[in-house]
Amino acid sequence: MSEPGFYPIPIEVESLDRRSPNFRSLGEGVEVTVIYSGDEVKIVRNECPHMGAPLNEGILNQKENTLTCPWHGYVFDLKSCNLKCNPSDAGLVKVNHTYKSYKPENTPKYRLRPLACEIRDGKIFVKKGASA
Amino acid sequence: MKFNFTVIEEQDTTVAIAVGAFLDCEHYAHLHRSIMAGFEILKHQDRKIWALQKLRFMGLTLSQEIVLEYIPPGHFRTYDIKPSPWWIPSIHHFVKTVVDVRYTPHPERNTTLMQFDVEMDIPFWLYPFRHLLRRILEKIHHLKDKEDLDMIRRRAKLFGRENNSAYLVSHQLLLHKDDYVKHFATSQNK
Repeated sequence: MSEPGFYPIPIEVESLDRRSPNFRSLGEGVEVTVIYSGDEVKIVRNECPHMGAPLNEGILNQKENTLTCPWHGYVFDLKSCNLKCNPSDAGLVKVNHTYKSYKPENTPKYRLRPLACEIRDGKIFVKKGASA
Repeated sequence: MKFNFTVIEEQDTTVAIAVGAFLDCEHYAHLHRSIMAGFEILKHQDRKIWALQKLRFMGLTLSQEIVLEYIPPGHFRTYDIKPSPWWIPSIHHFVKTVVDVRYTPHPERNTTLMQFDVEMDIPFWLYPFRHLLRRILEKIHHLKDKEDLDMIRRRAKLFGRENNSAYLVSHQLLLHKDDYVKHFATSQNK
């Protein structure tokens, strides 16, 4: 039986791969990516805030502590969850001011959506509605 | 000697989404990273773009320059394919290739017909290998299409099948963005 305030399916710590993003379903239709950021476990919604890519298919860089989106290559800092860079910018700079309907200055501050959790008895319990 | 072939596929999406995905150039070197290592725009003039593509092929990374022309609303033509730098040994020194991709609405269903036409001008001594060249191009095309359709399907599940608002928002870069907005913006998602 699930604990009140937590998603019904906890995550077994032992089952996690420390070297790559892990996909987990928490029940109630919630899917997350679980990542080791150093020794800390980070749980984020499994949707890139840019276009909805499955972040569990992204590339984890443990040295830089970043996660790269598998669709557009956006690089997110895992400590702050903020967008660190868009590597396409350099190669596409020639069209930045070509189109009237493209206004890069309107780009929102993309951020991964982290979820708060508690670790007990080798299991990770993810809190409902709480961002980390 | 001329060699042509055509592939036609029905795609379970709308023309607005299929064309949006094609013009969404930020994903080329990431979603399609198994075949493309880089994409850089060299020059842009009207509806023509001169671009540098870095392609992965048989363990090598090969650069080529292409001209990509957009004929709105749903026709793309790629031609003048040259190796980069020009002196690198390449099949493009001998084979001239023009690729047309057309997205049109299916006449009966709310889907999209994708037509992939390739026209190659091949010297006689390479002509016996024309079917091998066809298989290579078809394989690359199918892989790219599959990756795009997986992305389209996931986005349809998350945001709605006909929702192309992500391609219309002002901060999203698309090639030929003004033309895309002109042809595919609706009153609902302008």
